[in-house]
Amino acid sequence: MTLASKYEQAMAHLTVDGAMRERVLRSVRTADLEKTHRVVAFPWRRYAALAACLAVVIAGALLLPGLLRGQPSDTTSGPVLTGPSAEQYDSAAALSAAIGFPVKDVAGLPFEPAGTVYLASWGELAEIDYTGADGQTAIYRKSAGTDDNSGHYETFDSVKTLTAGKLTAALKGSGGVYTLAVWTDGAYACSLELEPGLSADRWTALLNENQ
Amino acid sequence: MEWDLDVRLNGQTLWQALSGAARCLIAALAALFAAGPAEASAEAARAALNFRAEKILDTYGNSLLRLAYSYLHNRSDAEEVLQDTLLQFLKTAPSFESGEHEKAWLLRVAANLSKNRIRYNRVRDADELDEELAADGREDLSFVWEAVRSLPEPYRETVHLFYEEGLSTAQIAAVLHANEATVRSHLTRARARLRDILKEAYDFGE
Repeated sequence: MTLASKYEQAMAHLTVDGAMRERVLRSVRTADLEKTHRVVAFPWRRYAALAACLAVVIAGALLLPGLLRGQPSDTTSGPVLTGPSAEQYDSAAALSAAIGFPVKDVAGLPFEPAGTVYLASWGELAEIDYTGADGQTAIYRKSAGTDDNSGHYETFDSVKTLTAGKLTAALKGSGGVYTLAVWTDGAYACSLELEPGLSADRWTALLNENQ
Repeated sequence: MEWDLDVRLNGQTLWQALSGAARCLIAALAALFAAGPAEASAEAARAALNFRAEKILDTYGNSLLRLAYSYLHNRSDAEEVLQDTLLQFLKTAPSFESGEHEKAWLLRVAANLSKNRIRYNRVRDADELDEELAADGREDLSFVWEAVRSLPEPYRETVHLFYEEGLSTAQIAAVLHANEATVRSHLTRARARLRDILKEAYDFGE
C-alpha cells in the first residue's frame, strides 16, 4: 500500500460541502472589496459586464446538448484556466490610454529586457512584465488607491523602508537581498518585483530613476 | 427523454454552473434596468466578481481547505482561511500565465494565511479529522494522518503538497517560495521520520 493513497483517503474526508459553500459565498458576497475594486462609471462598462455574462450563458447552452447526450466528462482533470480578465497592449502609452492613468516603462532595470508585456487586468490594474535573456524578470504594477497591489502576502525575512527622493518604499526580501518594492504617492499604489533581487543601495538608485 | 441530473463539469454539476451564470445575468440585467448608470456599473461588476468567486471555490475549494487543515487541524479555522484566500484573490486580481500558476498562487496565499493564524492562535489540541476517521473505523487512515500531523511544519507542508496535491519538488518550491534543494531535503527527512513512525509498512513512492 502506498502512503499517498492512504493520505489521500484521509484527506478525502475534508470537502467543501453545500453548507460550507453557502457560508463562504455569503461572506464573500457581502465583503467590502471597494478599496481595491473601484468602479469607474464609464457607460460601456455595464454593457461589457452584461456581454460577459451573456457569453457565459451562451457557452453553457452550446455545451449543454453534448453533455446531456452522456458524453464522458473528466472530473479529475486539472484546474480550469480562470485567470482574471486581462487585456494586452503594445506599449506603455497604449496601456495608459486604456487604463485611464499614466503608466511609464521602468527605467534603469538591472538587465536588458528581451521581452516586454503590457497588461491591464480588470480595467484597473496596470502591469508591465519584463523578461531578460538569462531568465531575469521584473513585474511592475500600478493601480489607483494606496493598497499593496503586489499580490505577495508571505512573510519576508528582510523588510526595510527606503527613501529615494520624494518616494518612500517598503523593500522586502531575504538575507539583505530585496526582490520586492512597494510604494504609493497617495493617489496610486505601485510595486516592482525583481528576480534576482537587489541590495538596498541598488534599489535606491533604481527608484531614484523612476520618480 | 431522460435527463441526467448528475452531469458534472469541472467538479460542479451542470446545474450549479448554469445557475451561477444565470444569477450573474439576472444581477447584471437588474443592475442595468433598475439603477442609474454608476450604480448599475458597480452592481454588474460586483455580480461578475461574485460569479468568479463561485468558480474559484468550486475549482480549488477542496485543495485550499485541505491545505489549511493540514496546518490548523480544525475545520472552522480552515474554512476561514479558505474564505480569506478567496477575498485576497478578488481584491488583488493577479494575472496568471496558466491555471497551474493560478492554483500555485492560491495555495501560497492559503499556506501563508494558515501560518499567520498559527502564530497568533494556538492550534487546538482536538483534531476533528482524527476523531472522524476513528469513528468510521478507519484506524489505518487515522494512523497515517497522525504520523503526518506529528511532523514539524516545514516537513508537513512539503508532505501534504507532494502526496495530496501531487506537486513536484520544483512546484512545491514555487508555491512556498523556497529553494528546491531545501524542499527535497525536507521531503527526504519527512519520509525518514514517517518510516520510523509507520514501521516501514508503506511504500513512500520515492
